[in-house]
Amino acid sequence: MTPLIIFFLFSLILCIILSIVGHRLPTRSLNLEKLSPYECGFEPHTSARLPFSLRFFLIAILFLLFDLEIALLLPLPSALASLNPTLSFLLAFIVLAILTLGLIYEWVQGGLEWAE
Amino acid sequence: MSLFSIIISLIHILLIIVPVLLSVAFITLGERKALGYMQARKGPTLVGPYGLLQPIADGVKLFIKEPIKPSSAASWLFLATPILALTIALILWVPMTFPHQFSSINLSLIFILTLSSLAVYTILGSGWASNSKYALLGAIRAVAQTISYEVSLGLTILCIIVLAGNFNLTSIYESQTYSWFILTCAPVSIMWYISTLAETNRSPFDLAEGESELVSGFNVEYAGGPFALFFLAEYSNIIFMNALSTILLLGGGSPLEILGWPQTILVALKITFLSFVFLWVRASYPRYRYDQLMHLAWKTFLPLSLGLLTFIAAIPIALDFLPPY
Amino acid sequence: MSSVPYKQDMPPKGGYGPIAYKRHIPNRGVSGYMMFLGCAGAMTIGMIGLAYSNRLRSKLLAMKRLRDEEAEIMSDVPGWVVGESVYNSERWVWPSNEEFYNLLAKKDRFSKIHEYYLHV
Repeated sequence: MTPLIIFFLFSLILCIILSIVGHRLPTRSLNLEKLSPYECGFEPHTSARLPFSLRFFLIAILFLLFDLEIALLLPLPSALASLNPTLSFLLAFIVLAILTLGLIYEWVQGGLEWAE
Repeated sequence: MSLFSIIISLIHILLIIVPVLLSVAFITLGERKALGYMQARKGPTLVGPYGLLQPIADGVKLFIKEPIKPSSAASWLFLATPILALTIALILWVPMTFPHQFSSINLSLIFILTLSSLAVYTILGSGWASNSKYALLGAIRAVAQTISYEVSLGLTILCIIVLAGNFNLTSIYESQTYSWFILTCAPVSIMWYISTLAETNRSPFDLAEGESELVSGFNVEYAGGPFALFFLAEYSNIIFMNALSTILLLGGGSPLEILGWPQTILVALKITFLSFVFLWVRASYPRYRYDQLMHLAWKTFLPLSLGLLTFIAAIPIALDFLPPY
Repeated sequence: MSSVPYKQDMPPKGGYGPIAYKRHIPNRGVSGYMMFLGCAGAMTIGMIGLAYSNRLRSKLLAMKRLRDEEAEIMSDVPGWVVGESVYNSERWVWPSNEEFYNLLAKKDRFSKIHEYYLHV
């Protein structure tokens, strides 16, 4: 365990040092024009925290569902090494089938369409 | 823990991180050279012999350029995300087998999946903290793309671990002594390679970058040192993904393993070949459209990998060659 | 002017041919059927290799467990060499099938019995 922690700390410290070097080494001459965010080379018109398409939110929800399914299926190799692999395969198949039905439902409802 | 063992593990860490950073430096040179020759020009030639010192000059240039933090940016998040990105990209190399590894983690594939999911937060954080429209749009696109393709990556990994019987990279490596998983899971491995292209935001799936409409994507507002950190993390992730494909699908040092010869050079050659194909794809294919990208992930890869997972898991049960446990 | 005979341009006899509006893209690469067959062939070859290697690994693992058990049982016998060949030769000899399956280690024996019980 300890070598792992040393690895984590080492890479974190290395990156922090690189970041500090990147911030301290160059000479800085900052002015207001340089520091303002831009939009096609001009002053930003409205706030940058703009409302975005709900499609992306839907994708995130779908990802949660399917990644949860993968998390549920992760013990599958250990389950197949059990005394009755056929039973564990059947159970895994039921989970997969339910999720496939969910995918079909989402598809039919149009949740996967991007351009109408 | 004694001082001696700490020093030993520090040396071991340096022996991993320094080659990784060097190969990141040289893959940028290799990319420019390969793209150059594919477009009938020479690429960088001036710095050092054949332009070999170009990446070092680039690195020095990036670190003495003035870093800019926009006045409206969220300061802590803006400074922290490049550090987090490179840290995660370096920690990912812990369980990698060449075939010797830094630390033999039993659930190393879960370790890798977890950390590569964490990398999404750095993209989202940097895009949001920049407080710029281009950065935010690029970050949202990049995150949606990455998480979509992560699903099919996860299902592919499930196919492989069902056949190898373990999450340990070493035992996956060993179970490919006689047949590579690129043969055993042929259709899945094609999907895996395309998904790694999308997962690392490489062309033809580099919509997060989208020069013509988003300038540079989530890292527009970064300059100098922090940008260099993002750059290093991105290319480190590319090499890492190819190393993972080598271990999972191309059997690591497989033909040499039977003969008992040292396998590290063969593993490195396979990683180099896969990375070269990444560059080749970039030179050959035009960019996808965003709806096509999502269509590919959710309507093609996901149903296919669900079906193939069931099929591939059924074969060893039906023919009675379940892996030893 | 009027001496020049007047001629109206008309479409050709039978009208114009159909307009070629359809895109004619040349066939490139292998067809879908060939890809399907190729994948199926690759999977067959790979699965045969994997079956060989997985069975070999299972057998070797069972033999290692057997050897560990032998070491455990015979630990108090002085001069016992664990895993010594019964033949007067250096050559590696696989155990015969009856010998192998009747002499499984405790863990494998247990799973074999239960597998039988659950399947029948």
